[in-house]
Amino acid sequence: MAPVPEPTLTEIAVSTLPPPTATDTAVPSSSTATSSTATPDLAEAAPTEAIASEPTALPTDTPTLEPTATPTPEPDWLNNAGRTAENLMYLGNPNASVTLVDFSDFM
Amino acid sequence: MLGAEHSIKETYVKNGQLLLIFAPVLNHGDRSLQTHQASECAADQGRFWEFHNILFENQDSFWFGDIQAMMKQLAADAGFDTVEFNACMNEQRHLDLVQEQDQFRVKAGIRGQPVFNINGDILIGAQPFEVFQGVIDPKLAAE
Repeated sequence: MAPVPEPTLTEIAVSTLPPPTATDTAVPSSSTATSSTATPDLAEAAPTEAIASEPTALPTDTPTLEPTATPTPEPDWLNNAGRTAENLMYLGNPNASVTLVDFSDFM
Repeated sequence: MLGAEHSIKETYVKNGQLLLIFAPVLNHGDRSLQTHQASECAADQGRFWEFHNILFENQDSFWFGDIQAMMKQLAADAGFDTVEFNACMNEQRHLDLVQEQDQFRVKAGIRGQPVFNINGDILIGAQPFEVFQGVIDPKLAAE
């Protein structure tokens, strides 16, 4: 008998997912969202006929099923200007490990 | 320091590794006073570093002519509030400030320009970016 090829990770993942339905993108109704801090419950969050009939209702306190960390924006150091204690203009991160003082004339 | 400055900003300032400080050197009498005051008038409008670049880009034209008029024209061309900028220049509003800033370099023992102090290491004269890299990178690596 020929060996059965082992499924790849992608194949496993796909085979365990339920088939998509028209209600998969519906958001749980507000009745299932008791508060914004409630632990997401996949069973409660499962789509229902009632939800499917109101697919455009978007409760503001709907729990997120797959919470993602909000990325912290990188500081815009090229637009961070200020003055030193000596009243000189600086640009960049005041806590940078390297400081370059440019002694120059505009002439 | 116009030559290497763009690369220094993009490589080290942008990511927060380096703080760039500008210290005026008033080596050319009234023309130095006027150009540095103009940069401070630009700072009043929150645009010091932009005008600082404009001044370096145009510095070859500052040796002759009405230097105040040149500063006002550059500010107008760059879209500054000219009423405020011109008043700042006419009043010589930042004369004391730039003279005070110049004392910082006098106390630091700086006589010529440009001179660069990088965490205590001194570079004299305009240098290519690679020279700055050779000083800055080892300091970052030592962190």
